[in-house]
Amino acid sequence: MTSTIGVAGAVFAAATVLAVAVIVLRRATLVVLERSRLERETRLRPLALALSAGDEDAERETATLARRDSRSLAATLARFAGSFSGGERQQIAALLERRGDIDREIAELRSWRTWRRGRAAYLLGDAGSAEAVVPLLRVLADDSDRDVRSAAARSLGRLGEETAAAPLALALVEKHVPRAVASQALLAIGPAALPGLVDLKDHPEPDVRELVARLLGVLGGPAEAEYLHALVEDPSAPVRAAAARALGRIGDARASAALTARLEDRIPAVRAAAATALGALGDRSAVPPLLRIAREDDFEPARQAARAAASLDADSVRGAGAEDGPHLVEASDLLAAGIEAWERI
Amino acid sequence: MSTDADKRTILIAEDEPDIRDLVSFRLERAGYDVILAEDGQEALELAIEHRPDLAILDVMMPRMDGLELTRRIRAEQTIAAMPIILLTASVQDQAVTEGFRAGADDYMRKPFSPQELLSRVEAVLGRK
Repeated sequence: MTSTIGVAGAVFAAATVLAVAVIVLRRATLVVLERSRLERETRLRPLALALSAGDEDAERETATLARRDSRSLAATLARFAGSFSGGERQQIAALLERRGDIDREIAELRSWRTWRRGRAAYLLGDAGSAEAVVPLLRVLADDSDRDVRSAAARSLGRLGEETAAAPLALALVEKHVPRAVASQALLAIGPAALPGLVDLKDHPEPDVRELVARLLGVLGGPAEAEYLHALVEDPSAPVRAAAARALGRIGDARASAALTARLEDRIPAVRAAAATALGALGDRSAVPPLLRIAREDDFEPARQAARAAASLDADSVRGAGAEDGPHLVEASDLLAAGIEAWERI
Repeated sequence: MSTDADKRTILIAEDEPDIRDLVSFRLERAGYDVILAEDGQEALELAIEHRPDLAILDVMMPRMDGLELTRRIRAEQTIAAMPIILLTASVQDQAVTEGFRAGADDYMRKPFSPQELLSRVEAVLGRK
């Protein structure tokens, strides 16, 4: 019995020593690899800088690089490309295509190692090559790892790829990628994303339609107002509220009647959004219904209506008394204190 | 390469090493002398010490941001007239307006075009 315990103890001790040794060895290997990577990057930096300026002699020099040096150079060049705009970015993208770096990274998107797929997805966004768009869209739709999908989403935004707008919006709503990552990518695509977003305005999921309304408000202009006029009548309250805010943000004067009608919406958040939007439109004919909401409605619609009425016609709010309700009295006091104080509430 | 450029010194204040190197590489190739700073405080000290002909300042920097640095340069008698170009990653027009209010002569958005930056440097130096 005692000898069995002794053997088990010895085995346990040996296993522990082995595990510690493996951990130490692994950490030491990582440190060496990182040092090696930094050394390569530092050594190749002058070459990368020359290549970033279109130096043809430098390009000839790259033909003799070892495989690891070549990959390190590609990573640095891709980062440089991400710092550039316009033709100079395209120039680096073309260089990376000629060197076969883009094809190699696209192949890496199929690696069984998650970190390799993620790294490739990230690099392809900076590199700026249009050849990466379709493979990145496939990763966004199909990759099993959320971080890899996020890298693809970020890269599609960096590429300004308009066909990625609808897939990014759907990935956001379905939580395939973090909301912040997809939103940032869509904003990076900018107005080019609008056609893809408009295609989703009749999507069966209210969350998608709400996102479309919000993004049309941020990225769109008067041309997108007609879609928002339809969405402000949507069966879903969050969609109606988002569309109302978007109409106010765009500043579509034709929206005044539709927004005034939304002051009667059954959901307070929609009434509040409509009041805010009416304040932004600058149509003084909205003041009487706004004053009524400010006197009679729930807290948030009343607060927003008082603020909107004050911004449209300060005299309609000044001197409000107790019979007008607390929101108009508050608005009157803030106006008396000066516009700056009003802006801060 | 102009002989005028040979005499000119440009201060680059930028905390991102890639952008700092890319900008300095292009300016040196164009014949300018370059002084590098990694944050606003260091940039202010170098500006007072070397009195460069122009400064390219990142807006978002540690220790002292580009807007505050611009104000401090404008308040420092010996370097108050130094032309300043701001580099900003912000897409908001307000950020640009704040830059001009602080005393900047020009601005560029990131990601940027090195060729356009060179043109702006030449234009700003030519105006002074």
